Amino acid sequence: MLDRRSLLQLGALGGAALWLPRAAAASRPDTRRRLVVVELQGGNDGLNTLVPYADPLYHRLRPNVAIAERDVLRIDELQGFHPALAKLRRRYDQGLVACVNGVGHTLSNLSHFRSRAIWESASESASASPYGWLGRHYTSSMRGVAGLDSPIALLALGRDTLPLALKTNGASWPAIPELAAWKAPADGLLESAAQSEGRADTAHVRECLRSAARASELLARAAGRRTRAEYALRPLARALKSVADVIAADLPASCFFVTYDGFDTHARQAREHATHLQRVDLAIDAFLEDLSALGRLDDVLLLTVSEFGRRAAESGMGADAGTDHGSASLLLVAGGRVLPGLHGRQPDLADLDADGNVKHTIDFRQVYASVIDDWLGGESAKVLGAPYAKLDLFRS
Amino acid sequence: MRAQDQLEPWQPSGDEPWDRERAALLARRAGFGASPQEVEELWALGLEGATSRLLDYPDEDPALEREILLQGSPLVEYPPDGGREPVRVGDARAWWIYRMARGAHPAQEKLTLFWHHHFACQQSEELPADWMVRQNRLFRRLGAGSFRELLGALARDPAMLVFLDGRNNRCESPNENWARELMELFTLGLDRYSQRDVLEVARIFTGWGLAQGGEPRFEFHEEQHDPGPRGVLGRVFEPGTEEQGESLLDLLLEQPCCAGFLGRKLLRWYLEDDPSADLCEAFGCCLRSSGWSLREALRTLFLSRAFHRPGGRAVLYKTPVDFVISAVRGLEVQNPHLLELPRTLRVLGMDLFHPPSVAGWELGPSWIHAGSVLLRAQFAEQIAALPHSARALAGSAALDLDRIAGELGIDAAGGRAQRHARTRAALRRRLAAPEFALA
Repeated sequence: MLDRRSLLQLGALGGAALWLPRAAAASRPDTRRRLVVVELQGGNDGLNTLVPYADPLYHRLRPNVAIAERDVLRIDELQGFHPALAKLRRRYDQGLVACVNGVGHTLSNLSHFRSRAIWESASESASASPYGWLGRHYTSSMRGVAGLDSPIALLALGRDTLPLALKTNGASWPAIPELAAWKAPADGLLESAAQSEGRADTAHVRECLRSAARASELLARAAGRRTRAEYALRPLARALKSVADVIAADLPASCFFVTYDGFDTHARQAREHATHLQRVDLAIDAFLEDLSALGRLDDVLLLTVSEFGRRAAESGMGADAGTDHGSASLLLVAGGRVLPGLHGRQPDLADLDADGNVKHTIDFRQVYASVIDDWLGGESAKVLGAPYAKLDLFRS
Repeated sequence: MRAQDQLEPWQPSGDEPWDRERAALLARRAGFGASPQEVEELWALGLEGATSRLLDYPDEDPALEREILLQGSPLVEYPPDGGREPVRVGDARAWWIYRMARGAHPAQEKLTLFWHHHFACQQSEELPADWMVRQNRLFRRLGAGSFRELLGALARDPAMLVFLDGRNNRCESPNENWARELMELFTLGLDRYSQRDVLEVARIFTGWGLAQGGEPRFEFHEEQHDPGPRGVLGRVFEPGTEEQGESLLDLLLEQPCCAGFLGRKLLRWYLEDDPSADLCEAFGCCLRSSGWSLREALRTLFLSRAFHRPGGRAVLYKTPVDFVISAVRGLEVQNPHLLELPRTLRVLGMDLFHPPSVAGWELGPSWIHAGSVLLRAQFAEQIAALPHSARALAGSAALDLDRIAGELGIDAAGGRAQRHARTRAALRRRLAAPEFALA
């Protein structure tokens, strides 16, 4: 068996770790497991997150925006993390964080909204499905299943609207901006729901009131938890703390969705990307610390997603330089069972498409398939509409 | 019925008269609803009179400008006239909410909000509040006039130039952000242009930037402009300077898809969550043929058969602003600026000056999910718990419970305190009721 160090080096040469045992597909959904999707909105620049510092093309394409070799947090002689990711780099060394690189799709679209809809619905067609990939996973593997089905099976925290990824046929999940403030009023929501019983036009509202009544009873148990982990007073950190609160209370919430907007770095990328990556770094690190103290690290898989990466070449000048919308990018996976190292490979900067974008080597639905089947014990072919070649991202 | 016929003027009849219900519907859709007294006044004017009362407002409202002051804003043009001491707020959102809640022209504020949703920009460190307020005033002043004029003003608006990086769009390195969103979100819709068009449009707008120093304002920097010939959407543009941009905006409005695209956005705001493609097209044509006049297009809409059809009520989900402001206006809450309404709107999903993205907000049933219904019920509880006052109280937000009890027909048995308690309970129920979520 290879040691961790050699494994990481091999990962850097490209390709997944082929000879570690594939995580046995969970035979049925594991009620202890949790999935936390962190959506980095705007289009996260993968090239500057895991930097191919040794590639001269990288510096030539981005004279202002490229991360200097001396600043990179080296992983090997080819790549390293953006300097703002110091804590995640440490977690990477501990084997709790892995990178999946070159992830994109053929339905290449440079519109935020189209691309985000594609990622959240995992939809083939140009007109996106009204339901999300997690919504469809719920329908196919969780609905009516004891221990899994609950009014909070899917949960959006730190958000005031429900993301498409969670939209589900016949169910309404809560999107909760601040968990501590989310308490049902004394009058009761069920009483409100009963008011217009029988009217078809208010069916949706009434259903949501009933869901909210049940959800608020459950979520009240997550209130008032203390933790040693140091979460910053920032939206993503708060959202992840709320996720940890719900996990700590052993509530029947399986899939969490949180978002962080700020990655659309058309201009001033050097400063802005660094700021946002640092916040992500601190928030995820605090979350992992918290889960470790709770003894739940092995039950949790955190996955970052983004609607696209950025253009290979920069635009603009000096400190104002930035990048336009791109294509393939990097995902991070974190958790106690993650297979450490690098999965996939750095995009080839010498092989750009007609728009000047890098080409992907992993379809994002391969990542979803791995998560749905091997982590959540679901049926990815049903959820995604087709089977996809899976990746070894975590151990059984 | 053909879409075109649906826009023909509606005729009241014995079965379907012009009644107070219809006046209330008009007030809800054109603005943010009305108190029973206001509904009575609108009804008495008849449909055309009520529509005119709502839509034919002046561009400026000096009385309101004197009533509510945004501290730190450089734009106060109406010094106090020795009348009542103005309300002063520090938060630009609270300033706008006050206008919505207390202004005499709610239709103007509703249309201003539509433009904020359509030409969505987000306040940030880079884009401070007073730039957003300037843009807000632009929407208010030009919003009911010609869309073409408004579009030209937005292309030069400092907040927009910052938000979509227009000010960084230069000859030697074009920035695509404005070019893309101009076509995708502001005029044509998705997939109505190519990536090549985006690049060419970006080049056309190079040099459209900000003046150095002084008040934020537009300046065309000729040395940053790429003057070459351009090809966009099949049209060739001669080499030129600033006029290339104006011609490009004309071209966008000439695109066949533009009218339907704007028509759909407006109908989803004013008529129903899911208007038919034909109706969107017909209404768009109506907008175009009125010289792109928003006021006239909306007048046609509010007088139309489509608007007044039986079954034309409760077909639009209220935005959080509609929900909150209709409660505040309908109940004639005194001193609404003393409630934390900016925060309430934010947790309900509609943070003013902070739309989730340049695509604005997601309208329709998405406003209602298990999370937001609980928060709306919390708001209902909060409003119903306000202290009683029959006159404006300086120190707090209050309701005139006696008047409301009268309007709701709450009987006086058991004395005043009990009557008030029953009134509060009735209000809570009404505001939290599922049908209050619909307009």
